[in-house]
Amino acid sequence: MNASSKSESFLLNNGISRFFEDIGNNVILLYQTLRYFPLAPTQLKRIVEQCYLMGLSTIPIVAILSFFIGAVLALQTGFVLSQLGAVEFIGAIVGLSMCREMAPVMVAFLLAGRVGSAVTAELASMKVYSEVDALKVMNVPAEKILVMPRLVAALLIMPILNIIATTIGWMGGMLVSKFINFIQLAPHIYWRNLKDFTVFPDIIDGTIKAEVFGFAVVLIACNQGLVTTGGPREIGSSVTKSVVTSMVFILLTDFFITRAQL
Amino acid sequence: MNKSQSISVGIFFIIGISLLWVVQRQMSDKAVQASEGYEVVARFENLLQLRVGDDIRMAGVRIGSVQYTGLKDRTPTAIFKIDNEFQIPSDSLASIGMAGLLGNNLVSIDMGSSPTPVSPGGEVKTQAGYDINHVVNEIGALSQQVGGALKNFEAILGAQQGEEGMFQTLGRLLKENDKKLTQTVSNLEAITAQLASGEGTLGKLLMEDEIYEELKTISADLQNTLSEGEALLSDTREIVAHVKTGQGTLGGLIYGETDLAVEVEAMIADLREFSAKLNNPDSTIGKLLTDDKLYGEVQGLMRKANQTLDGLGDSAPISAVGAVAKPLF
Repeated sequence: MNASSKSESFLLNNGISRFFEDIGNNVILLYQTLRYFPLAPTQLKRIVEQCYLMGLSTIPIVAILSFFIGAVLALQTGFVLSQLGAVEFIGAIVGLSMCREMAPVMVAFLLAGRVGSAVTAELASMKVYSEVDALKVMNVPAEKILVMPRLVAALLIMPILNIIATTIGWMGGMLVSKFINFIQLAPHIYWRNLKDFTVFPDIIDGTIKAEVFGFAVVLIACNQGLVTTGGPREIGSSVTKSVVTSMVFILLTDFFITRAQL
Repeated sequence: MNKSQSISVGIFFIIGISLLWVVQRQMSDKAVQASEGYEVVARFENLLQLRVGDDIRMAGVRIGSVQYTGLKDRTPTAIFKIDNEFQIPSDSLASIGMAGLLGNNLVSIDMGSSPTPVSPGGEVKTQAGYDINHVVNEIGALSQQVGGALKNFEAILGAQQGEEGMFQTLGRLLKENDKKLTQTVSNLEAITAQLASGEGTLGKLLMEDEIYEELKTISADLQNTLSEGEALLSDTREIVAHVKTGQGTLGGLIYGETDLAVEVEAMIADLREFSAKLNNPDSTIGKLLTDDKLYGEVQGLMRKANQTLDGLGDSAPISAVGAVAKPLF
């Protein structure tokens, strides 16, 4: 009896078991929340509020980051391509890499850093200060009013944040191509090349990625918040864990989604 | 949540969705929409790298795009979507070409001259395009040939393991004959300088007009002479013809049976007889000709005569003096 309790505590306390526990918690939370998805219209106010917090307030940082990523991409590739005499292919490189890879991953990272951390902190505080328990007592499922609106909002805003990031990145690439002296590529050639190589299905692929990443980031953040126990210190570590887990998940999933899409 | 937040979220979604729509339109505008054209079928031997959405160009103008590629009845078939404003002459030929070095393809249509266009749903004639692999293979074979040719050339020109090549031989010859060549060149220079200044026979020939005039006169004289010669020749021909017909003395002599000919024959017979007599040692002239004794006698006679004359010669001055002195005494 003693030995079995020892092995049980070992299983529960080591890293591998905590990893599987996290996955399990996330899946359970997803399952419980999906049941409330048909009730989304009843939670419209909360959804709109989350859209505002997640989407609208993230736009400035998304715009700045994507502009410079597009610009640097054009700069780096332009330097090499100008030596090869093929600067017009900057359009194709920036166009495809922004819409298929850079924009979804970058937006998801920003979401994890800016929104995921805030969601975890909020829910962890509610959990630590027993607000979640109070909801349970009132027979209001936390999944219904805390998790579901956030997930729906994530699904709604991610395509839009993704397309904004993509187009601003393209603009950044175009400006660099036009004004940097060793590239000096006319904008219409840049756009023509971009359109020659980038098709709308590429944008769809990027949007699918962004949806998966956004949904996962918010789910991980909510789960991490709701499993927090203890006090303010645990809230902080939960936030850190939420962000790190989200980023690892994004990079890991990105590889497999890209592999599946090609 | 206040009202302004809702408005912001509304604007956010509208902008986002319109942006998606604009990008979708921009990305898709290179493909001809289904409602904007008619379909034409093209059957190729090989579709190479042709993909849906590739351009169709006639005389360089984009007239549509590829709508479908695949195998139909075991034949590689492409369906083109052609803009309504363009019509393809029925004798046009479609081929698959390369739009860039990175593997982009396009369908190039060589515009025909037929007044009847390909009808919607009709088939356009095709010809084989250039397969880049084929071209690369050709280049490979060609480079091998060029390599072989260069090798032969090298063998001709360059030294091959101790043997002397053409250049080496030339170099050696030039080195050995350096002085002679220099001398020859300087001679040539001197000759050409003389020629240029009109010196020497050739120089004069080249530079002076007098010689030219003289040559002209000579040639005119020659021409005259030739014409005279021609006249002479024609006269001769006439004479020969005359002779051939047996006319005249000569003609009679050669061809005719005239008295003259008989006389000549008789004369020849006499001459023969005379020579026979000459050859006969018994005859007087024969003896004279053949008998050495007679020759010796004649020689002795001649000697005596000589002596007599010599005697006369020696006494002549004395007799001359005597004759002069006679009146004195």
